[in-house]
Amino acid sequence: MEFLTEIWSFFTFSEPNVKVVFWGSLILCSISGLVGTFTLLRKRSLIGDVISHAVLPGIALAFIIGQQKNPLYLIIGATITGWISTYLVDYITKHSKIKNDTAIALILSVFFGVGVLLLTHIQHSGNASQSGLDQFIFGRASAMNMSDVWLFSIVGTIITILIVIFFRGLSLLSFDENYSQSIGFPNELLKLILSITTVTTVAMGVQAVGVVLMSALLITPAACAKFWTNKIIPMAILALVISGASGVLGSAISYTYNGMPTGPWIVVVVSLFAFISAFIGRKNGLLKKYLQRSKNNTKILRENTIKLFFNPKTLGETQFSFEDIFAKSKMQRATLKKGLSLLKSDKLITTNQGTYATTSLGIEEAKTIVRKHRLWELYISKFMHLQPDHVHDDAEGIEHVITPEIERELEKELDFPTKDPHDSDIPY
Amino acid sequence: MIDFWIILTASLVATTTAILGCFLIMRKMAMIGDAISHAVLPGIVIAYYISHSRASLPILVGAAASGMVVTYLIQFFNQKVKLQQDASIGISYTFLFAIGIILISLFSGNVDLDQDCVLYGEIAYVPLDHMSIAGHYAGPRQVWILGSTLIIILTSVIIAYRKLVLTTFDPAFASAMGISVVLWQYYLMAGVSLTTVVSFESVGAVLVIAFLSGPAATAFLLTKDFKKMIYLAVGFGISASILGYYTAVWLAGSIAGAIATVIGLQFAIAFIYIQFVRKAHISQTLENKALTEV
Amino acid sequence: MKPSVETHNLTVIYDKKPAIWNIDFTLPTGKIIGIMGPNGSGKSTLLKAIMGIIEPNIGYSKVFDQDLEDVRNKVSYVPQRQSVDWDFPASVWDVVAMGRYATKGLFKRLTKEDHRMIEESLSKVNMTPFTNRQISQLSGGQQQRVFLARALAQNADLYLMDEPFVGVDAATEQAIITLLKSMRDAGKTLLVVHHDLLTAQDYFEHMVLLNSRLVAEGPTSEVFTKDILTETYGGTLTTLSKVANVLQEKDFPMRHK
Repeated sequence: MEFLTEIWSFFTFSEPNVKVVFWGSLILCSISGLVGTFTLLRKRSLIGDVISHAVLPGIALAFIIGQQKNPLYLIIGATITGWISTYLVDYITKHSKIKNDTAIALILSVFFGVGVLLLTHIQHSGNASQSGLDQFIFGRASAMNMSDVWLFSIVGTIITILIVIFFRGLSLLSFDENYSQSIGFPNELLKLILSITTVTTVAMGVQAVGVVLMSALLITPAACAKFWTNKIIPMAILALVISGASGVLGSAISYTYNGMPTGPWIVVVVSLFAFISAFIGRKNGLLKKYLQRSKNNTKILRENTIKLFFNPKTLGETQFSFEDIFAKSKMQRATLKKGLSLLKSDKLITTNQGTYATTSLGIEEAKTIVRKHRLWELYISKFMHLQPDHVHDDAEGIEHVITPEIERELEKELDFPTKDPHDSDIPY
Repeated sequence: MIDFWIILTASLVATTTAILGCFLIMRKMAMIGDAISHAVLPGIVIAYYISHSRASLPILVGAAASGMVVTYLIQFFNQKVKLQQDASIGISYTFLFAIGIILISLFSGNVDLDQDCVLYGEIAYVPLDHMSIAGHYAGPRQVWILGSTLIIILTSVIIAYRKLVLTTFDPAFASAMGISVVLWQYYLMAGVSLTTVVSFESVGAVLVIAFLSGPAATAFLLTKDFKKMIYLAVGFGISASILGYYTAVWLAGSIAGAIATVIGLQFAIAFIYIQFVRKAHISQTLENKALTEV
Repeated sequence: MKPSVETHNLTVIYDKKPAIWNIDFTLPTGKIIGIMGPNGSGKSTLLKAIMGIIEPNIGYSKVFDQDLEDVRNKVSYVPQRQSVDWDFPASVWDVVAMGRYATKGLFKRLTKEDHRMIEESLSKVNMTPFTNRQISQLSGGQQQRVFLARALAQNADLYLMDEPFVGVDAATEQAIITLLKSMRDAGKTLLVVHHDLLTAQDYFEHMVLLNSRLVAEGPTSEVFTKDILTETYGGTLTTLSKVANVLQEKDFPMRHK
């Protein structure tokens, strides 16, 4: 209860500093969601990791030079070392036999190490206002002040405008770099814009999230969005919204617990969005896959059951007791019962005192599935050059996949055949 | 004596990680060390909290549990829901690391761990926590743990050397010979995880990554023989530990940070040497050769 | 005579779609056999499935009428040259020695006999002068010869080779085909993935023509005909690819209980 009131007091801005935290994290996180969309699509997510670790020495240097926590100096310092780190990763990969992942791991850890060395050096030297510095490692949104927020808004606006102006080029670069090059887009300029916006975003973002977890803000929101859409504009907007919302929620939670770092909470919230999206998202979501599979299984069961009623001699109505059908089928008792009830509810069969009889609709269905089976057997024996004794198993699977359209094509391609490879009639 | 124990601790970590690092970077798996070293945190924190001690066994169990969770998460995102590999790794380990940091904050007071030490360890305090055997001073506890880890890793690598090399260089050929590529992959990963976890306390997550990737990368630039690469990497790791320690003393800064900085400098020197000095030399020899042939 | 390789309904599914579909054939021994087909027709996949490098989703294959596990030391596989990182710090000798590891346990040292076989293999591919050369300093043709030497060192009866002629110079190509012919004369069977139609007739006595399905298999004189080549290279069958697309889109199982 106390927690809820605390959260409520956050969102009603009852304390003046809350406003700063709210707007600060909203702006920072939204922008990183937007920029991260391109990083993700260019499959350079781990570069975000490098940058976020590599801004640390820049922050320390800015502090040494400026002698105080000046947000502009810090952003400039962070941007410079962040940019150098990406440049080095690309340079090492391009100019030596060192592979990309090694270069990433090396530059990331060395830059971070240099940053830690400088930071600890400053602290041991007893500089008075050093206290604000170690928050950069895990982030402390509550340490932001109004001038920070103004700076974030200005830089954020510039980044957004750059991205909007170059949107088409950046999208093409992210989807297909070679094509973009071939139609004369200025790839090098676009890459430069992207790397500068990414580095600047990270340099700002570390104030709220900290260097270690900043890469999550580039990767995770965009990954969430990818579970919902393949189009780049909705993806970028969705990533921006999810990231902004996570930023606000995360800092609200950390604000209510005094002394909790902000970064981890923001990352936990945005990760929860990712799990939810992975479960119910429209693209590759688990739920969708599960529903599709159970739909497939129902279709297969339904068609396999009606096939049991197919009577090769009369092609007409047939009657069976449950035991007759069960003996004919290779199914479990319970599965068969489920199949029969499916048929009954679709009015393909009727029951009368324990015997099952096909309706005229059922007869047609049974003929259709047997026809598909035999057409496919004939098709693969002809085009895959299979012996007649090797075609049945494949047809057992594929018969359920053949749509009416494909069935018509098969008939035409095989010139309306009457016999399957086992010399049985193909029922029409 | 304190200097000695700290340098020895760092050198033990350096040796173990340099050996494993050579295999990792040749398998293009350097970032796996990154993912593991961050992701084991929640398990370690929970183990601390439950056992109220720094006993090694609960920590290993906790770390192994989070290690399995991160492996599962990466596989879930990558295979079950078809997210690209780099993003799957990124999401999974940042999530677990965030949980770990939150747990540390929640348990603060109950858990003898702080946020910063997770990242750059507390190697300076290693000599304080010592062991005694039959009442006699027997050196720091960490040295014993890291020493045993080194022996385990060394033995495992020697035993499986051929299979590890073969599955690293040519996995398809190895698999065609009936060698299970997946099995040896897990064997190596188990070694990396064990090393990461036991090194965690003394050198922290980020220096482990520097140790795994840096000395191996520097050695890779300089040699053409895999065995020599391992020896060189170990040499670079140990020398970085020594130089790093004295740099840290000189600058009154973090030892882990200073070692990582030296590792970076070693690589930079080797890279510049290969890139500019040797290339210039080679092109000159080629020119001379061309002249004599004409 | 025992067949060298036999496949039954061999099917490998990539991303829910069959990459090779119901491959059924029985190949003779003691011949140089070409596997031909357009790009993406599943040639490498077929080799890998036979070699057990990828587990087939449906069907099975046999080598010398036995399970692969029982005859593995009689089979040698030569992967595509580009499939490995040639920057790996190893010498030519190191790579060829890998061919002798199969019969060695974890610790057993290489014997004099092993050394002799490694040297002999190197000399068969004219690479003796390069024995101590670092592999990154080799040309494409020399790299391919190293791979062949490693296979020779295995002293197998059946060799599966994935695109051994890609990216090699004319001299190496000639040297390789001469070597393959002498191996054949020594009673070995060679199954070679190849994509150059111009040289195919000269190189192979027997052929497998593939386009994700088996188009034809038999002696070159019978299957290297205009009709069969058109069927192989004339694009995929529309109905077949439509079925494959439904399988992928609807995530349908190809086999069910």
